[in-house]
Amino acid sequence: MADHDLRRLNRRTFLRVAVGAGLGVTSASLLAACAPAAAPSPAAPAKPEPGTKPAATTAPAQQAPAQKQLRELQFLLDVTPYGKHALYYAPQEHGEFRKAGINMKFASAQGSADTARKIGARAADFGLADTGALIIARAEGAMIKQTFMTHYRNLMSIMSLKKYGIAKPKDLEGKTIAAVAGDAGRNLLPAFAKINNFDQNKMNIITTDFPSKLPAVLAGRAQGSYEFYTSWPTYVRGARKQNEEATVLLYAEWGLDMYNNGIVVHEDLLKNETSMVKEVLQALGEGIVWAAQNPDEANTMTLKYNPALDKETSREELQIALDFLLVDEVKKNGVGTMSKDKMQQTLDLVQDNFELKRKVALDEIWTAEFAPKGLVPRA
Amino acid sequence: MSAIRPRELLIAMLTLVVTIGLWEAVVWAFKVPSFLVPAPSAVWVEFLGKADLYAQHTWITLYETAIGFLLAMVLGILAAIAIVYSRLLQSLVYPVILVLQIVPKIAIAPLLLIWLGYGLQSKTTIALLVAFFPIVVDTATGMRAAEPELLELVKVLKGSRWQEFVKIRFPYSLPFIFSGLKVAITLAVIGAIIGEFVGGNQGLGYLIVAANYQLLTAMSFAALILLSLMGLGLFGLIVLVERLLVPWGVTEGEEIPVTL
Repeated sequence: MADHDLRRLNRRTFLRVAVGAGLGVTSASLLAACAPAAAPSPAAPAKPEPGTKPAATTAPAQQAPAQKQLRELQFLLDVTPYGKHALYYAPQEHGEFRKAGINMKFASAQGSADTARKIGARAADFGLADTGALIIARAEGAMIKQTFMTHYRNLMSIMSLKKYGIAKPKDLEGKTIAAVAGDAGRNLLPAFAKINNFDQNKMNIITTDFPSKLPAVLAGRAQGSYEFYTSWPTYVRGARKQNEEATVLLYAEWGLDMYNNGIVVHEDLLKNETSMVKEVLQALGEGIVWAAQNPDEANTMTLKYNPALDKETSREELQIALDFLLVDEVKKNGVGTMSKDKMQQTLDLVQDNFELKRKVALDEIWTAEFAPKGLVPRA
Repeated sequence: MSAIRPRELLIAMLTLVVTIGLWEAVVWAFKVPSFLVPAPSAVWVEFLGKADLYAQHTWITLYETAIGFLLAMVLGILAAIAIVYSRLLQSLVYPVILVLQIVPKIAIAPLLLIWLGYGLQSKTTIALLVAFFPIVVDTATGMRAAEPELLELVKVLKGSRWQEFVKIRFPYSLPFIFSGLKVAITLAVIGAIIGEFVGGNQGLGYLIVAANYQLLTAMSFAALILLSLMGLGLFGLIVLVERLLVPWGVTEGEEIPVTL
């Protein structure tokens, strides 16, 4: 074959590769576009997964309400499970969901933004997500609302080692802090800096992945990292292994308080299945009350789902989640309820510190209609 | 050199236009929210609105990719020469190279970033590690593919090993080297992106991660499209250099590079 023919063939092949790549990107987009429509509607009874028994047969017969088939629903945890998630396993394992005719299946997202996106796409029925992430998602068109609060105080924090001398916010000037992209505490840094009167521009923030933050601090690549305060037990143990002492600046203790995580639900589900959502949240509230009164037992439920977790660390993480749940507001109104004022404060903080696509109204991001009332754990 | 046939070009352009049109229509018809899949027009608007930002991050990724690829090329060819010419080096080097290839780079990337820092070195090292293997394997295969009669001729004529390398083995291996380079360049792009995903504040990989966390899907798509174009452009560049340097070795079907 003549040389020029070969060259033409190669050029043609390259062209095919180029067109193929274009088609690939487009096809993937179209498939994704069709996904929400194709996803099983939460309103329809879920089919059992292949190879698994139907949900009804897995529940103890004497506890199943009149042999009624349990309805399978999906609950999306915000991140890979750890101690704090006992609050959500408890109603499933202790039986509150079952009494409500529900068999809850758990899965994990990759952070609150991912949860918000997936609930917005109706890929799961209930999701645990940060209110800030919900507001951002709402501005981008995800029709989701906060229905039940669990992290009442702001868990955002900057953790460090004692040797780096970060004892107050002003000490952050000149320091390098590791953070994951889109970290809520990082995004609210302007507000935190303003409240505590320090220059955030004098900080250097490096983006890293979640598991690398503490190693980066221990290796001296950063002098601190953004963490949710529920990670504190793990952080303390990690530092101790290197003979270091961990320190923490908790946003809530330094003037920046807001609502964090709660249960987000798609508006379609709130509208079309009002009673189901209410029943699930009632069961969730009862389960959380039980977990608050029986934290050791609740912790074993987390370990049942996640055997690789350390029992003591997990228990301490649950305690922090309980401390941030059992606030005065909850002691007065019950688990899950929210106040309009604090939700407004949360919305203002997010809107003032993010370039949202559009202004989001307060009633778009939450509803007080669904959370149970008066479920107060015994002291 | 012959030009691309107008008909081929027309078909390619039409295919792209139709698929983009279809994408736009589906998004519009099904009212797909932008946080799930943005319309091509939204991606275009996003790109135009922040062209400087995209240019800056594309340049960073391109730079990391190029450095990692060039290092992989030099070290890969040298390693292949060592393997072909020394049995001792082959038994020493080859298992190490094989282990390096088998280890999933995504798993060691966080450690590499902690060891080497969050700047350029870690990204180029990951690109180098990912791109290295196909160059070594293809170059070594090419050098061994030299015709035995020609190698015998060099011996008969009392040619040196250097002459054998320069006049026989290296020219014979060039088509194989380019075959490895074409696979390696696309892998180098992926390597740089792995590094940017794990840590750092720059590059298209960082932009995709940051966009995902803020549900800025149009930004994510714009960065992905730029990344694809960059990979295609670099692949095309290698094909072009191959045609200029090794016109006799260009094969009919280009291999489609495998990804990680």
